[in-house]
Amino acid sequence: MRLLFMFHLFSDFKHHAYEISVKDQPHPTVFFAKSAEDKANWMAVLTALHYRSTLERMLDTILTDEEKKQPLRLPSKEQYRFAEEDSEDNIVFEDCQTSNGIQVIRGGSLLKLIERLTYHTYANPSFVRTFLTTYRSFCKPQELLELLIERFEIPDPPMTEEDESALRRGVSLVREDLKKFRKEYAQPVQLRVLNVFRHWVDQHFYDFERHPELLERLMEFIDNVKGKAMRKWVESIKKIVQRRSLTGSTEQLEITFDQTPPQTEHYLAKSSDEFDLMTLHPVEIARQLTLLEFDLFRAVKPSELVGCVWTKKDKYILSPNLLKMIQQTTNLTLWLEKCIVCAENIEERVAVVSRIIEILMVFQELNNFNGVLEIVSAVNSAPVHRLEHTFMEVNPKKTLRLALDEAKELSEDHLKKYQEKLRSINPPCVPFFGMYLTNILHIEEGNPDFLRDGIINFSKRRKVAEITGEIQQYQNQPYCLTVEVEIRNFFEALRPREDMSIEDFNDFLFYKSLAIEPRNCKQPPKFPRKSEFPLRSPGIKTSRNLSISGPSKSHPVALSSEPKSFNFQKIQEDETVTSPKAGTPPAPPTPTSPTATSPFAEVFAPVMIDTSSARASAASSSVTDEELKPPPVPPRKPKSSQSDVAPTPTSPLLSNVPPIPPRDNLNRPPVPPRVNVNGAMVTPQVPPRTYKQHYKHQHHAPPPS
Amino acid sequence: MAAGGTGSAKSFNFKVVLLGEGAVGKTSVVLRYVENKFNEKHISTLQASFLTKKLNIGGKRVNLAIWDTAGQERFHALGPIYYRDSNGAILVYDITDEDSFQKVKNWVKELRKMLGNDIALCIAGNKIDLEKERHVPVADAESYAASVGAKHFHTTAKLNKGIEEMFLDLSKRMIERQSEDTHKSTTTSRSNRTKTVTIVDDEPEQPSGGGCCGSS
Repeated sequence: MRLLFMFHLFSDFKHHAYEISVKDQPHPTVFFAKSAEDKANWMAVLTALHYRSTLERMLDTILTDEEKKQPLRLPSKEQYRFAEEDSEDNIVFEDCQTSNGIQVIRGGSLLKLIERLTYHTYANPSFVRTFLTTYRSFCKPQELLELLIERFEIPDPPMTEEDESALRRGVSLVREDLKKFRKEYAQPVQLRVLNVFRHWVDQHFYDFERHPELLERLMEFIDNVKGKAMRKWVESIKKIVQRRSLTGSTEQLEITFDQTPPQTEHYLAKSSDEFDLMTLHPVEIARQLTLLEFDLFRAVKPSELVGCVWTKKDKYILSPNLLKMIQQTTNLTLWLEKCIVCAENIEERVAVVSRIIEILMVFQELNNFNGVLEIVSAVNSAPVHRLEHTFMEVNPKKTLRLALDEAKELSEDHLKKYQEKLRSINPPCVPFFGMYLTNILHIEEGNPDFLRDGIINFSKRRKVAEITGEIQQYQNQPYCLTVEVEIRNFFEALRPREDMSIEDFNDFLFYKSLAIEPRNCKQPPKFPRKSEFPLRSPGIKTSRNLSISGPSKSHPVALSSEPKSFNFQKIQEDETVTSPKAGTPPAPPTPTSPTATSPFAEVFAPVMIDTSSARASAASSSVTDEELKPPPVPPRKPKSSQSDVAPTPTSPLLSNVPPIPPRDNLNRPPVPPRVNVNGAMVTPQVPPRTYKQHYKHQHHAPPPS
Repeated sequence: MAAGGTGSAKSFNFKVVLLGEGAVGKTSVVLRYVENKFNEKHISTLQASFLTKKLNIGGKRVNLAIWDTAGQERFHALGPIYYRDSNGAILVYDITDEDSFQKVKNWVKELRKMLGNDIALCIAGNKIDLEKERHVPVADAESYAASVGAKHFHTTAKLNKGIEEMFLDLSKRMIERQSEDTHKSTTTSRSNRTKTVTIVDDEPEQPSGGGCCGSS
């Protein structure tokens, strides 16, 4: 608002009136306040508003002068390697900045990257996340730990010549520069180093599991950390280490939902020795497989993907969970193929294929894309695809045929439809991992590790981290379904090949296929049924059991869309010890459109996670990143952002008065030209006090920590 | 989707899939071909696992949609979703790695079972810049390729040899097949044909070599 106005005080105090006239407008507006006090308040605020920009400029000037008198002096780079100045030879930035004005690093020397990881003027949580996710591709954990310790051990800058001569003259000396250095450099840097440690043990504890000596070294170091503020961090790190050592980094959190999971569907199998494709309820098969596949999907860590370690020699050490997930997928597909070709009797085979397609439909309903592709692959495999006579019986069942066609389409055109669908659904879901793998590999192979000698290409790592971030986003949305341990065990134990090699097994399947439907046969040969189960399916329309999901049995609200961060909250013992939320990197385009309704909507309870809360938490995670800057905010720099010290809008005294808009240096409109104030001048009251206090802080008290 | 190849006289759309063991250099081959880059320059546009290349062969426009499966090798059983509807396949092995050549044989077997002779095959012995460490004899590889009706190429993405020729040859053969098809049955639409042909299962051509050195 750039209204230029003047205000007059009427001498008529009885009416508590005042007048505001806009410059160049003939008719002033007269306001009547309720009481003299009210009027005084209004006047105070108006005056404050009016003089504010002038006062702020004055303050900025004073602070700049102070700054000049006492520049921040650092140790020399010989004393402290991290004190080297930025130059083209050691750090490169992207052209763009983040929303909060932090420069985005394209690449840098390892020292520079570590300096920025623990920078003295600002915290950069997203950089910490990306760095800890990807650093193994350019630096060993041991090396990182030593560098962080070196970063922590900051020597004091040497005395200036002036100081030295003063000392020689015997003047007792207060080293102002040292004070400033400790407050504005050493302390924030050290706290940020501890913050990195904390994030490291919390999110990437496997580094310490794989290298026990790493943990020893870290504990030895933090045990020697001194200072009250620091100790809080140390305690927090220790607690995390303790917990992680007990539970391991693949900790399973119990998830609670605001809705009851649907009841287990039972069919023919009464005990685990009767479990099989045709004796378990198809809906339950699909649910249990989805839960199993989701858990395997969820266990895959970003570090298993960065640097394409799953394709490397020590893949079983570096990508254990990814390989487990892929193995399960392969096993399931092969098992399904085996179930089909081992059903020699044609009626039975038709029933088996139909049942598998029903499971496929439930997978679709559950957004289990991994499962959908497993089945599509099984049905399109060489031994199954050629079973013309079987499909001649299956295809007339319209629902099944349509479902199968729809699923096949997903993978066409380079999984185009799949990608569209993944973006359009609401999690929970089990994405197909293959796509991510190729994309990561392309980024890894298509971009150099170093921009030039010694300059690590960090932007490449960031691109990989974007993909792992998307994966994490989906990992954090759990299914509201109950694990049936015995059924899960059955599927986990599937070994369709037994001890056959994959090639022999494929041959076996194919010859089996040729036996049950020989080439160009007009009629498939007759085989007796070997099994006794009824071929009719129990169907996949289940009635959700309303009696238990009524409001009377209210369940705890879904705890968190982000189990890990919930976990993280527990150890947060006080507000001074805060750190960037252990959240996920920026969300992929949030899938918003609702799941299409379908006749099978009943097979599982609707999406359990309240999407609004999920979104809120996603939003808040970015806010908290901002708010929870771990180390103390370094003193304000003139002309830099001060939004976090915005003046308190109202004080009790001014309850009736409109709040003063917070000061916003970044977008401050140009200062309006001065206006003559006619009439009696009211002594300008200082606007709400934070301002002055803040100013005082700069000089007499350490910044709030 | 139709398997590509719109029959209109001048323009062809083909889907080509790259298959082979992990780390044999599939991605390097595609990147070399599509972007002419091999780990030297900054590649900023990469994201999609499929890349396209436009060619002009004797006045005929050809669009190749190249699907790289690199990184997904361990999803053994998902083969069908990768090669479905492909007009051509490039099977890549690493000349220093015997096992990777064995994998190529398995892929050929599976492709022939599924797609019969409806797919044009190329076998690429990659990394010939490492000739000294060669473990797959040239003669073996070439005679195997001939026995299964595939063309064999010696390639290196690093030195950019053999790659251009390979894609060109594959494209030409795909055009031939396409033209033969349209000659044979002008009435049958392409998509119909794909559906019927995939059910044809000829005895997979199995040279004795393929079976006996087996899977160990």
